[in-house]
Amino acid sequence: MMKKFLVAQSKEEALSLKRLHAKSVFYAGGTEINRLESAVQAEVAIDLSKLGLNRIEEKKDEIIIGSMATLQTIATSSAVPAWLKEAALFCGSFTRRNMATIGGNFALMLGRSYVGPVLLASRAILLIATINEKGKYAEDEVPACEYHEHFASYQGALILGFKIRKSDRFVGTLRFAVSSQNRASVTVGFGAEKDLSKVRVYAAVYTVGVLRLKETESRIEKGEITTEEEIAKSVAAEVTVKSDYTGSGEYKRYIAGEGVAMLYGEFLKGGQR
Amino acid sequence: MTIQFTVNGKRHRVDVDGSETLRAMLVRLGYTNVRDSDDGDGFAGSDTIIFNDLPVYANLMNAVQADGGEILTADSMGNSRNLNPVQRAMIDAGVVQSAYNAPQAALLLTWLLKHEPNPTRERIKEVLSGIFIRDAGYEHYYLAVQLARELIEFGKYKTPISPTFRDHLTYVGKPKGKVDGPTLVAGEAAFVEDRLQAGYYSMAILRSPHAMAYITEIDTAKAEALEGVVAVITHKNVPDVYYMQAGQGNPEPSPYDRKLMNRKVRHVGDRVAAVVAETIEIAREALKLIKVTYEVLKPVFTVEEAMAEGASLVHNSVVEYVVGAPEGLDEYNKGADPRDGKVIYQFPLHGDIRRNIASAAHGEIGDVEKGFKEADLVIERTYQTNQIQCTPLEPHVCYAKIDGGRLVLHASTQVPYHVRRIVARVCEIPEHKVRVIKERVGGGYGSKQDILVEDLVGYATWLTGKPVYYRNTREEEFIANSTRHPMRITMKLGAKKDGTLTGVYMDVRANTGPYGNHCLTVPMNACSKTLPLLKCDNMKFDVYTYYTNIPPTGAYQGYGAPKGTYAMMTALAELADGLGIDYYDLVDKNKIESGYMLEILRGLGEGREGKVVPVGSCGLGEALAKGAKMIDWGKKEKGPGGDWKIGKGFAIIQQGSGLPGLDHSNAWAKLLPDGNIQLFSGGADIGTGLDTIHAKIAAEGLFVTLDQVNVTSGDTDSCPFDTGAYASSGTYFSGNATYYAIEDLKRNILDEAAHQLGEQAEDLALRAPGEVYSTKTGASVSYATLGYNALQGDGRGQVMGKGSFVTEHNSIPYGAHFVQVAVNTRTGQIKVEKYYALQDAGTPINPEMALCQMYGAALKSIGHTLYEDMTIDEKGYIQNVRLGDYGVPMITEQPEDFKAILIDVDDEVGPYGAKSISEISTNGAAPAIAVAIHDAVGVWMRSWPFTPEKLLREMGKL
Repeated sequence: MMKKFLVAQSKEEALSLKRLHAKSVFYAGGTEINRLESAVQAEVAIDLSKLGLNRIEEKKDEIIIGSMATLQTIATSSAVPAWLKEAALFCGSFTRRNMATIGGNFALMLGRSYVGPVLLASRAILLIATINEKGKYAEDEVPACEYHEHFASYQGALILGFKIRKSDRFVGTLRFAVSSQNRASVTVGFGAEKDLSKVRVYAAVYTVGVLRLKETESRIEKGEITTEEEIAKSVAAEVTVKSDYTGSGEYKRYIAGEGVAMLYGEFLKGGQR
Repeated sequence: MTIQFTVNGKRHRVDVDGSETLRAMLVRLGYTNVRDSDDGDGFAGSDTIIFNDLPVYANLMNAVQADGGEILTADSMGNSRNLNPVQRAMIDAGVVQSAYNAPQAALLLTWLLKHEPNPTRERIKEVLSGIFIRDAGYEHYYLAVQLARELIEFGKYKTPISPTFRDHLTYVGKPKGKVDGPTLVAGEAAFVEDRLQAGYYSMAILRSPHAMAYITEIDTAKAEALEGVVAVITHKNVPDVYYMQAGQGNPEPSPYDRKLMNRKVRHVGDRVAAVVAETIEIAREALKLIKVTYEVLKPVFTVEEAMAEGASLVHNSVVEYVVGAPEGLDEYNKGADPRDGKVIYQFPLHGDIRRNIASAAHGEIGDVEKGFKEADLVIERTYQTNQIQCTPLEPHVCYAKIDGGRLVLHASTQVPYHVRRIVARVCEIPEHKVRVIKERVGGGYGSKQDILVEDLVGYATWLTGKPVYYRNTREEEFIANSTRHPMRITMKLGAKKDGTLTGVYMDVRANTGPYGNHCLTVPMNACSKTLPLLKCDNMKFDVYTYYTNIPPTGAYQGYGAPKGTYAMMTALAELADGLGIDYYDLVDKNKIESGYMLEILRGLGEGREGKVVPVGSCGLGEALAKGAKMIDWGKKEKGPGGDWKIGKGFAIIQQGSGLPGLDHSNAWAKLLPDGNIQLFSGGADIGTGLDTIHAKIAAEGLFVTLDQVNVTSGDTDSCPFDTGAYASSGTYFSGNATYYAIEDLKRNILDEAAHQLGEQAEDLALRAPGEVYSTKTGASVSYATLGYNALQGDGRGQVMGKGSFVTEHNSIPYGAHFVQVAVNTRTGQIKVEKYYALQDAGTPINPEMALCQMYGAALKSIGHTLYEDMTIDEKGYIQNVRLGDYGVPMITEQPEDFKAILIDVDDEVGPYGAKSISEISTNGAAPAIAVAIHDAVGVWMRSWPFTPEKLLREMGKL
């Protein structure tokens, strides 16, 4: 349960407060932190609302999306690519989309993540800020996959935003839930360059987390698997699952496989997102 | 820290510590209509506010975030005497029903129209996507926005609100709004939680972590010693009184199989102890200090497990009968375990608790075996339905206090008189010592037909003398509340080649869970609301209901009819498929029509012999034909192609209008000295517009305006008895009692007028605007003069009327629901593209509300069919106890093409020709969708819910 709510006035202060309070958490939209039986266990919230991190900026070759941009802002921004809008709309409630942020949703890496798989599949770059033990503040750019792979080591870092390259890279995402606001069993993200290089396959699996399916990526890049059927089988074999009320493990394997295969099918059709 | 902000333009300066949610702070400041229905899950939207011009959930914000902000709550709009156009339009469109979320919906739409005066349908859908409405569905919200726009632009409506019925009547059959609508949509005090007075005590309940166990030790000493605790209630100190929690006619067709607390716990969430304390925090702290030791038993969860040889016995109790004890009962009871307590049947229900059977029923007309022998094709299929939750937005709640030496309960109930009787029983006090005031009910759907919290709150209050408040958490709603009985139904059907049915057999195996609430009536409804749809001389049914250790079951809108209809109609479709004839033709050939004698009813009384009657008013044929035309039955749609396949389906449906021969309603009315009318009805308006029906019947009969009638209902002190709002009885039974009370009042008005005018009553008549005139002399007297004079020193006393209603007549509502689905053969996804609900409700007294109830119930049953499911693990825990986990249909789940059509049929017995409306609407979705899925992809879905995973399995993909 939250006991303190501190409003950071600067990025440096936010990071300092995080270091100062052992059981603290950066507070973005609050929709996960305040939620009933939240997965976030913390006693001190460090509010980021005063840091000006909610802007979406379109540049010549890239789009910068502040980590505090709400999912609703993303869903309605003309600068944001369609695949990310689609992911933002996976949050089925307009009211919650007005509160939930891209940064908060990504940073938690939950198995019900809306934007995690697709941002990772897009090869987005994270803009992060850190502060070292001597109190020195630094900003850096980190590939999203790096953040995901070394998730624990980035827990003290502050995500300032996401840099998305404008390119002809295919990026797609699909969510499988029985209704718009039921928890999804599986959400998948698939990304690849036109020449089928730099393939990224991610799956958010309920009660498991966000997973990278490297084996499948590699086999696709090497041309070992080329059909939707082969890709579905590869994903199903690689993905880690648990049975729960959203579906059996067998179903989750199947639907993750079919989901990635469907996106791959779109890619083959020349889909460019 | 100190923060500053405004709420509805009012400045606030408040000290906060960082641990409080914004909603909690707003409630603390008196903005109590920022409500909560999901315990902060961010799902249902009862906590919606506008913060800095954006809709947000107040439960998901920390109070500190309000610093410097501008907040709008429902109070920022009009009040009940001065509604804004959105609030007015919502009432007139019929969407304000149980209304727990109505103020928040009004706030969202007011915000929307401020920003976008002409929003698209898509935009309305988006803005309402975060608010859960269970009762009225969402379709008429689009209408409400249209009406609000017209009010703003033209000052009046241009769009028709609904069809109208009975041109010769002024109020009946016309959309006239809801008499309690203004209070509800404005968010003014109406619900139990709004009645709390300072100084109340709170109760918290310790619940069993085991599905079945004996409590071997329970130590409450530390809890009792905690400062602020006034009572700890356990099985050791509750009255030795057996009862059951179903609110049914007395004597009940359910066994008395529990006390307030039992030594044996029978489900995860069963009551172990209750603590009454000065605050809820102290009460919860005290729960942690109670030490309990259990002897854990092996549970049974399914009918199959309960039936198995050597299965654990859920009630290995001593069995008693109030009447009709069978021979050999002493021998039967030798195997009982005294720790299990008693099971007391009020009369024989053919239970056998040593085999976990709570009740059973059997019946037959003709010779079903002979019928099968005569058939060209006989099929036998088994269908399984699951456990689902009613999910009223307002959880079960009760506030009780001692007033004048009596126990007064403010209750959210469908059955105030059953609450009074049962609370009196458990408190061991006479009924006149108990007063039940039914407040507005924020959603019931059957679950508030059961006395699930009032028993304990009433007892705690009587015991301690303190005012006690209790409200279920959402988790408790899932684990300790009435839910729909899971059932396994086997259908055996025989037919000639031309589709003529020769035999119908129905075997129902129902799962009642730990206690026998409605254990006979709900499963019997699977037969009694389905078999009478068919013309067949040979029909038979067997019903068995089993005790298990799943969370409790009980009443749920539709009772057993949705499950029985699913099994019977899907089996008929399978039969047609086997015969190679069109399903529509088979149904059309075998459906009943007006005048057909319903012999099957003989065996379908609820614990007694049923009465055989002919089919009365019946719109079934018209609904079927019209629906088929609307959906273009027989035409194969192409759809978008790829993995998506299109299919169509339908089901014919029926329900009842109350329980003939069992239900009883009363009302009385009085003429006030200013000429207005005060009406007292025992009927319980649970948001469905029953009070409006009473007011309309009175206004219609007496030639006065609606606002000249005041309705008081559901208060056991001032109103006469009514069995309650269940079994679709409200309009038909309570409405008819009012009708007869008004007829009596009319007679007495004429008699008094005859006295005052010095004329003969037979020469007098009533007319607008509320006066009596002489057809002989032309003299007249207003109701005001009449009422005033009657109460003067030389008057003859207040002019009053009373009415009661009982009947053996079945005014059965009929209908047909049609559906078109798209099925993805690769992912198993099912989209309901079109849904047409066509129903005969007799004369729909409130047509706009009737339509909304059809939309709401049909959408609810789409949710039941496709995904709602209480998923239980091997230890008996429900895995999805939050609304966000359980999942219910939101506006985004509504079919794009969704139509509710009222078939115009005038009933011969209902008030002004009315029959019931809403329950029947839950019966069509499952079979219609099952048939449509088969039409699309060729597989039969024989198990609820039809999830993508199950469909994929049926298609051989998994």
